Amino acid sequence: MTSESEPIVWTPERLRNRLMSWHRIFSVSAGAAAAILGWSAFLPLPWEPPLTRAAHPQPLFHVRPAMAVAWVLLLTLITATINYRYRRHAASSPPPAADGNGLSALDMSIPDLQRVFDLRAEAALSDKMISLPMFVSLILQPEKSRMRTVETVSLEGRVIVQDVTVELSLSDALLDDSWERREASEAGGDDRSGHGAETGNSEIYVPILNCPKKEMIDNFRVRDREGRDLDILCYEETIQLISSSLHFLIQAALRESDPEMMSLDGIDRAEALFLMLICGNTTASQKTTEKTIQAGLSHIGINGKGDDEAQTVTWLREFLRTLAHAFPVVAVVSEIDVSRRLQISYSRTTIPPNKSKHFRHWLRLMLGLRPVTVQMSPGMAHNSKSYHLQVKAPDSQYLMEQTLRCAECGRKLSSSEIEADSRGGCEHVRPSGDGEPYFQLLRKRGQHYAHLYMRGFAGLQRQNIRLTASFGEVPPGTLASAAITAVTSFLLIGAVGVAETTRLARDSDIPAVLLVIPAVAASWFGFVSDTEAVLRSSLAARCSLILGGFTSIAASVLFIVSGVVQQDAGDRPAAAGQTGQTGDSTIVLGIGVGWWWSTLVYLAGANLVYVLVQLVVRSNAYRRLLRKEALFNDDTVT
Amino acid sequence: MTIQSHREAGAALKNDSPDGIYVVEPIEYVRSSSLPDNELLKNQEEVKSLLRDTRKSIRGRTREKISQAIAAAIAEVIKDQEAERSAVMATRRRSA
Repeated sequence: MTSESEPIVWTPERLRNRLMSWHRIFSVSAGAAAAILGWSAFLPLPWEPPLTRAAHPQPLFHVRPAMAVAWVLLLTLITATINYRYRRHAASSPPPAADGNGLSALDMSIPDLQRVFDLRAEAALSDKMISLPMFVSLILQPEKSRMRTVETVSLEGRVIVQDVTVELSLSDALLDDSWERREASEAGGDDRSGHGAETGNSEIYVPILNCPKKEMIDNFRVRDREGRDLDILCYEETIQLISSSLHFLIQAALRESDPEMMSLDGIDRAEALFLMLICGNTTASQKTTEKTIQAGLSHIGINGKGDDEAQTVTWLREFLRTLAHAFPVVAVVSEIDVSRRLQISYSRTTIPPNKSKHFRHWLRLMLGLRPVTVQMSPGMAHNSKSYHLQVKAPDSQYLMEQTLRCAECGRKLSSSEIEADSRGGCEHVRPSGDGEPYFQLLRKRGQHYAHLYMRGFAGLQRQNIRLTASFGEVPPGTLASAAITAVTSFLLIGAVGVAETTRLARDSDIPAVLLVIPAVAASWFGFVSDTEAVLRSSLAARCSLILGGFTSIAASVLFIVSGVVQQDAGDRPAAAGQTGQTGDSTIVLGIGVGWWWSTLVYLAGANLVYVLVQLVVRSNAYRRLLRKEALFNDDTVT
Repeated sequence: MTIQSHREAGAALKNDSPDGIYVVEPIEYVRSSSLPDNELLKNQEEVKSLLRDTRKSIRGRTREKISQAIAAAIAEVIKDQEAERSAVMATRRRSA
């Protein structure tokens, strides 16, 4: 049977599985070896005489220290191996960059492209055509229709929730569709939309978000003004709109070109190239994008490029550039009032990365804390006439710092100071005249959010600025818990230490139990509260709780050990010269017990002073914010 | 007016991912500069005429013609890829 079986083919998958089985064998073997070595190094073996029998002859070479060293080395090896395995699984392999090897990223197949053209033919029979001008306008010039955008970033649990509310004012020129709907019903006779031609109440397709390709949108919801959920077009329906809009823009561009230079076959071929750019699964590089656009335009007889380019060609070019890097999310709006105004909200959740390489940030993570600073790019200000950005922390936090900085040079921008040109070196100038563009930050008054207002950035070159907001815990918070723990720890250790060093008689072991109470409190206060908060800023409190718990446990252990040593010294006076009572003091690990108590009292006192100073300083800082006068916000970028 | 080259949303910044800070990336693609207005879209009659032409043009395309165009476009891309691959290989050989 074995000779008839197929030979094993070592595919990468099989090899990987094989390696995993080797890993399991190694883990089990190393774990068993570590267990045996650990026993041999630290515990008596069955055939060995009891350690208390000193009369037994001692061997020349002791194997126990060697075994202990081997045990430590093996344990280190196991830990490193397991850690490596976890790191290898956790390492995020960066997605292959488009054109990373210098090749084109256009990878659509003939059936895929044929399907896109079929979808476009279906769209030509539906009432989606009447939405094309508005669709194109909202893709390319969202700032013309977006009156107000409010973006709220809430730090909730481990995730960050982004809520965006957009108020749109749609142009009548782009929305009047009665003529077209009538034509559709007459020409097609196939009213696929069903109700549109008869009721005159067609749906409107509003692209609300140009999301960068490959961006995973989590928990995405779209709502209207009344909070009702809105439908979103699926991928194929969106492709219908995109491919039809592309043909619409090509038709517009052809009006400006020489009719002798174009052919129907050339148009189809150009559209195939453009749709490969738009619908491909990979994001093409800028070089490929420009090359493909130019190749497609040459097929339809448009070769010019530069300042004298027609507006329609420029729009076609920008449409392709935009959709080569982003894909629109299109909401379906079934009702619109006479004012032509819409309010659409959407939300998503995101899990922010947390890079912590500096020691301070590494220590925060090790202590179960997380960053307290959030940085955002207010890029949507360029797609709206006015823009509000709110960064909200939990109620238990307050805004400590807020800055608006140029991401290029790191300079903090003052009120209404903007970048003139971020590409050729930073120039920050104050605009004159009508006061636009303009931005303002809400003053800090102890609130738990930062609020940035921007106006007039829509017509500007994109500004490379970042809002940074830092939050702190509202006092007293866990600092008060840490202070109470530190006081308790200091008093108990001090009292027991004084009693021990003055050699008061011991009547019970209750002090050992009492000394542990601060450690229990530290565990409770420090690790139960705000477990799920995305911001946990109480590094001082956390350090104080850990130090207080450590000193309390150490004091309890010292109390027990010193008692045992004293009792042992009383039973065996002959051994008093080595460990035990020597004259007036008890010796533990070669040091007098009085010094041990002094050290612990000192640590508990230092911890108490540290946490009290932190509590006073932070409480005063917070109180100063609360008492701020309500001044005019003339210089609020602080 | 010159339209400057676009910049991708979330493009790498000098201070893109500072240490110990949550960086919330922009949700939306933002072009680096605004577009000039398209006068064509402001003229309702022109828009109607253009939509009519678009609809007729799409309906006038036959599946066979489109298939030929797709095949030609894909052949063009493959040819381009081959040329790029040859150029890359030649560059690697030279550098080796």
